[in-house]
Amino acid sequence: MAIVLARVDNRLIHGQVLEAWVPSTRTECIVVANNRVAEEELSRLLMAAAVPRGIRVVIGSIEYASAFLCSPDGQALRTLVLFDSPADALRAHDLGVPFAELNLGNLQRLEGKKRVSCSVAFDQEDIQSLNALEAQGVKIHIQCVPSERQRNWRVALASGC
Amino acid sequence: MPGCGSAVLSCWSTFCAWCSDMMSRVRYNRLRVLGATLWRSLTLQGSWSFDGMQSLGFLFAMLPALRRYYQGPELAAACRRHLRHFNTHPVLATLILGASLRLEEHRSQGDEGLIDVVKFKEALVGPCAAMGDGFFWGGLRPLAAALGAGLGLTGSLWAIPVFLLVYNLPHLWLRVLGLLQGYRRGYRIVESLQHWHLPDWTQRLKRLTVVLLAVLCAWVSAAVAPAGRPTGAIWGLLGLPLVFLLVWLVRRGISPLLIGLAGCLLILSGVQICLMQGW
Amino acid sequence: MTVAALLWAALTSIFAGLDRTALCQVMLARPIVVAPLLGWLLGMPLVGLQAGALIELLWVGRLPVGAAVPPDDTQLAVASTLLAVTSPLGLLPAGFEAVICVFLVLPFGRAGEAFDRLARRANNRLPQLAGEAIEQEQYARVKWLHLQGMAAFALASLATCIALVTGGWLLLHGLVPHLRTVLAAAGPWLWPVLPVLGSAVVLAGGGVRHAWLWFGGTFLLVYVLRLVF
Repeated sequence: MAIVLARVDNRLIHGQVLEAWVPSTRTECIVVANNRVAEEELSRLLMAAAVPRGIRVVIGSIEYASAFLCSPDGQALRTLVLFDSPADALRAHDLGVPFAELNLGNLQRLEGKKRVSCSVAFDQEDIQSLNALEAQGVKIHIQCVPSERQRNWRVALASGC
Repeated sequence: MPGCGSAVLSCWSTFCAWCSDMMSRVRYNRLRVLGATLWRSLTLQGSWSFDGMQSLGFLFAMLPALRRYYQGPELAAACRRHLRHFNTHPVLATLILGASLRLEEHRSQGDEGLIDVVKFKEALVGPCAAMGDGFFWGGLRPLAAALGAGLGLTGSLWAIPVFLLVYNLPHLWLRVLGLLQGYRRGYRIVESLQHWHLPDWTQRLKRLTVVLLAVLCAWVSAAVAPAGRPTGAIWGLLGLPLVFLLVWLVRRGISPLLIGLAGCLLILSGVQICLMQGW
Repeated sequence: MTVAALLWAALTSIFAGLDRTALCQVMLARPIVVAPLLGWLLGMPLVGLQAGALIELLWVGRLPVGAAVPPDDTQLAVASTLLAVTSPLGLLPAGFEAVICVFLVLPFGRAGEAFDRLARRANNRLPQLAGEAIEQEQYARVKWLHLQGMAAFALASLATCIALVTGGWLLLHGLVPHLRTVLAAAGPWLWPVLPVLGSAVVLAGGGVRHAWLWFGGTFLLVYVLRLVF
């Protein structure tokens, strides 16, 4: 087993991930692929502090995280990958990170986006990235926590919130 | 002796006057601001919304302090800074509040500091939410609930104080400690947060909850098993495979609500059949 | 059901509903507290205690994480206690009023979600209005806007409670009279479903390594000890 969940979540490591997804996917390693966080020591320290002992945490730029995920080291563990935006997920996929499904959890920071569910809003760039990912065969769905129903992102985009 | 008494009294009154003088000069304003912030932090989620989440609640809690630090257009700018999207765990939020108070205080005195308060808040919300959700919702509350509700099933009204104390002593203590530590240490609060090791405590509390629930389930199975006959008690052991069967069903993604209602219907129809057969 | 009982239930529902998200969160809103409290106000604390303990245990493993809204167990506790205490004498088998009323309101458990979402969506306009108030330097208005948010939560709690009580009351008077003998016989078998199911949800949630070993070991130990002594 390599990647058990690839997720777009602008809050990166937070309660939904640690309390709901990590136990249900039996994650052994959390990878945060984000250029901004990789540069901020404060954020890196805090994120690592939020994860209980026994789970490995790798925080780095998209290139660094992709290299780790493709390495035998990363392949050996049940890994959960977190991206900040669909564009980052697309870059990682282009760099060879093998995920067949992409989970959209929280995407809500910026103003002026089209809201498609309570926690997800898209802008034009997001939609382009998701289209490109889908063209490469990645299945994309919206789901906050495992107990919630999965929604296809296209259906959600068409029907709105 | 009356002379001695009056001397003590005058000493005491001088001391009191000195104390109140010191309080009003140094601490009083700060304590009042901290008190108001703590009080208002209890309503952090009062106007929770999908867009701003706790943004308005955070501004509401910061307002007494901001009004003390700034005036005019600077005050408006500070308010705008704290009306941004904000969402974290309501208890650990006091830690961010305390640190933000310190950073704003320094800023109002012209000291820009090492880190911008907005960036600082953005860095803290996620990890605080993760630690708080885990510790309070995932660890402490289930533990208190298992204890309290277990007692409640035995018919003891002690269930209520036990539940409230087990949850609220750590809860209120961390709330106050978070605000004071945050205010004292400013952005260095990160170190305290690391030292508390909340995620590891969460693990321990969860294990304790599992053990408590096992005791409870054993007690429930023993209470249901037919009493009187020597072999009757063995039937209670069926409770254990039943729990594991339910775990399997829940893991398959079937809603617990649905399982509960289906179980109820199953029992009712079973009993109905028994009644009709005259067993 | 008297007017006084309804008023007490409405008050409890609002206060507990506020503690649940908007105010304090000192856990007065948990079923194990709010149900015996309402029971005590209506003169039967032990009936409330039973209903509260059962609902608490059913959702002992549910988390309000992030934007995901869990079912409103607070209002379920209020509604089932109200129904159990005020049900006509003899309609429900003695000693099992609370259990049966919990099962009667459970099917409507999702109603709370809808009202809660409505309140949170209604609050969406508040931060924007607060921004406008700041531009005009009307800082007292910020407080009023914040209070409006709490009012929305209070209304949502009350609406949930009314929906649950109505649904439960209809079932109580439409269904229960036909099931009297079955319910009387099934009473002792119904209540264990909820604590056992709640424990199963906690175990299924994971998060504890070798949870099934800890659980199974403790279960067997306690059971055997109880047999011996």
